[in-house]
Amino acid sequence: MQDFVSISLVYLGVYALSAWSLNLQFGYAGIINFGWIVFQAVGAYFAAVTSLGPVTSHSYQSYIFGSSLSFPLPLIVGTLAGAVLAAILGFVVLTRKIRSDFVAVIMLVVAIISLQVVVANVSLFNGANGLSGIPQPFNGVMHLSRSGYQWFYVGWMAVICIIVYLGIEWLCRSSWGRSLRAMREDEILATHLGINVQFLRLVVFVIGGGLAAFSGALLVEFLGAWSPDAWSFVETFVVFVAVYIGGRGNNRGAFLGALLVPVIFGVFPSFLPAFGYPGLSSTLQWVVIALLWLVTFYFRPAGILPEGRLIVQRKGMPDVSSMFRRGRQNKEKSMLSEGR
Amino acid sequence: MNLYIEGIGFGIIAAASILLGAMGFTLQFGLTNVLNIGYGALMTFGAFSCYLLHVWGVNVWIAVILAGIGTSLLTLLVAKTILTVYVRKGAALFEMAMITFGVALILENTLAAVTRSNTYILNMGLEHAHSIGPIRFTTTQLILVILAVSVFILLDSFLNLTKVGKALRATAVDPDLARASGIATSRIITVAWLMSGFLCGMAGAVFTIDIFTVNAFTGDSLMPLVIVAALMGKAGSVRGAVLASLVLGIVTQVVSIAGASSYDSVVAYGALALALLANPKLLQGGLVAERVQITV
Amino acid sequence: MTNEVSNTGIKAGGAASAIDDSALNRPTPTLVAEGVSFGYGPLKIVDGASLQVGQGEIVVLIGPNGAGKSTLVKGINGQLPLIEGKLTLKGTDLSRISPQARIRHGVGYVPQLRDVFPTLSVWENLEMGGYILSNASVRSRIDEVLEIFPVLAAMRHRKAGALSGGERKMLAIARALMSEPSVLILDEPTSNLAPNVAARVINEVVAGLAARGQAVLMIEQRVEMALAVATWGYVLVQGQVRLAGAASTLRETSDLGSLFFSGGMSIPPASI
Repeated sequence: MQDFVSISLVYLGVYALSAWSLNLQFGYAGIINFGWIVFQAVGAYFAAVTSLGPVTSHSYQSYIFGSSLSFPLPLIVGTLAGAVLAAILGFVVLTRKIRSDFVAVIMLVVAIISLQVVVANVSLFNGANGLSGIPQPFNGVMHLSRSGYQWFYVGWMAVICIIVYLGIEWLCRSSWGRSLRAMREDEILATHLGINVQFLRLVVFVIGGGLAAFSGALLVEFLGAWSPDAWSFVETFVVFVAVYIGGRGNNRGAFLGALLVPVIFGVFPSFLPAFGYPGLSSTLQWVVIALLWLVTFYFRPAGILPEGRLIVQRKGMPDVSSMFRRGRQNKEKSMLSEGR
Repeated sequence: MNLYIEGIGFGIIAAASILLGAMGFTLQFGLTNVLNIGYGALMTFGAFSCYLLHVWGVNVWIAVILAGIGTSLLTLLVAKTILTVYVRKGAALFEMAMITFGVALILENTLAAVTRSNTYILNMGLEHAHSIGPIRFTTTQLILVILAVSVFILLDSFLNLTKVGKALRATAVDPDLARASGIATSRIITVAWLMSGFLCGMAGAVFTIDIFTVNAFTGDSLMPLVIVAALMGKAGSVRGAVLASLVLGIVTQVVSIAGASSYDSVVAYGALALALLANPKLLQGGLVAERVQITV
Repeated sequence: MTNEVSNTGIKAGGAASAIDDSALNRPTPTLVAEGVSFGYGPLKIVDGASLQVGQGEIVVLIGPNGAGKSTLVKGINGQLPLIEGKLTLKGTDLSRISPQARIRHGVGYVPQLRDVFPTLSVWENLEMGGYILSNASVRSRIDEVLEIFPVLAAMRHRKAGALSGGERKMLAIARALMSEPSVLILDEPTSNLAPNVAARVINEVVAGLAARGQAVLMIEQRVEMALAVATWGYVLVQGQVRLAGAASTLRETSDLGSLFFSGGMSIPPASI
């Protein structure tokens, strides 16, 4: 039982970092990254291959690089890998004006192709079997029991999350962050204000990518293993749902959303009496999360903890704020076919 | 060399299901601007319906048609109840895509729960094989191809020769102008949902007949190719979707034969990327973040 | 063109003024807007405007950018709900009728930019324009319309997107004419057209239509060109009709420019 609590807490930390990273990419850089999972995977893989040691004739798995860097280098390498990938993709997407669902699909396609390439090329990251045996940091040194190590990791994740949270909050409240947030709602305004904004968006996207990769690296060091099973679109969907339910555009909301994930996927199934056939609960998890997404988006599209709205009200002009209280005003607002 | 010609043959057969799905998808997308990631789940519904009807003794080709009808009704139901609700709330384009994915998750996982994630075999019985040169095929495969071609011809004629078909094309291009011309756009969109749902269901059924198996996630394996084919042809262009489906079907089979079957997705998306680079206007404003209207 | 004297002129509901009494010579109005307001939420973009268009008239709606001309026209077309006032076409109250039904009551609308179906052929565009006609009469109506625009007859199977600017605008007008509208509403028909093409559209096409008895309401930025061919004009400034009168008189009004640029009233409002 205790194990399960500590593991859930570690996952909470990982999902918190994930949600914050997605929030940066989506809420501030304005890029709908349906391929988000690929960043987490990149971080995991690169952290793995830089700590597994070189491939020898006795190895049962094959991969590139293969160094035995000591902590914290694999984490740094993983993070940088994610940042680099984000720089490339972000540049491609930001230099064109593409509608939001197409951006989403393009990112998704990148993730799918990467997945296929990794699975097909065993020499890259050991293909479909994935990597295992990744050393957990400090384990050799501390001689903790398995559950003791898990609690240590909980503490480690807590420290990281606090530092990251403070860092991101600072970034978001800086004048950069505020201008990005304002630009987010109005692409035309943003383009008229010139290249600086695009560059800023790219920087934020890269930071988000690095953070996502960081979460992957931390997760792989905890689990000791990573395989392509861990990166399908549903993972991205889960993080998106977490951010949406918790509250887009603000980091406390994102954390709240992240809380939901281990609750649903960890707590919920373990409290259900065993019923049906094995594997039923994991199938039903998806139904639950999809329902949760649909219901929440219907009743509270802005999420549980929405970000505050920036309204500028000039004296003497008609009351503008009342216009915004009804539903959401969105750049790509849809219209029904009849009678409008 | 013969091997490659065989690959082309298989490609044409594979293209049959991609084609039906792509025609349906492009109709849906062209008219409503909803990127329906739940399309795969609807194809799964078509596949399962066909399987069940076949098991209950219905002639398999009638089952295909019935599966199409059933899926068209389900599609209309989902569109008019679920999708409309979120469009009214002012959902953005990619949010609608996520909504459709949520619906798909529910549909497919409920089905998986009910079927205990089993895979079922569609038994077509012993088949007579024919051959044209090095291309070998069964009667069933021949019928599949003929079916797909016939449906295409019917659809193309409908869109270009009938008043409602032209109104459909007009609404796809400009719903406001269509309304100003007196076209009842909401009724046209209902027709679009029904027709595209029918094609979607047929695609799933045809696919399952082609691969002999069906499970709760069958449609998902067909969906990427379908969406790529639909987007490669202009959004809303049925002829473009057909051509792209043929290309994709053949290319993926030939790549498979060349020994790189695990790369077939890469090839498909690479083809899409090439098509887009060669003609950026292909997506007809899809690549430009203009104000896009969602009409359901 | 009827010679009946109409006594509606401009109602004193808006801060409008008539310059002379040629209002008495206008034909019976087909389209009448009385004190109409359109807008979004609490913001009224068109505020208490009144206008009328009769058979054979070319009525021009001019004013500075942002004055609300397009909004007024969209309101007549049904794309915006009527906040207040009365809107009638041949006596029928339009405000209760949905946009796609207004064409059946005689509204013919030519938008400014997206005015044709680019992927459909010229013939198909006209067919769509005649959507509400019975299948039997569509063909003959297309033939009638093509007689007005012989240029289009020669390219009936060409895709509308492949037409030149002038040809496209002619197709747009032809499409709207298919339903035999009681009033033809043109939203800046010459925007995006080269000056010589614009002149042809206004002086030949639009004038020719009015000569056949068509009631035309036209928004135009090319004020000189429009007033040269128009019979009556309304000047819309900040959502209100500030000035109305015969086109010839408006042409001679020297303060017209200041109305546009200052947004204020240089002619004090007077009730008729």
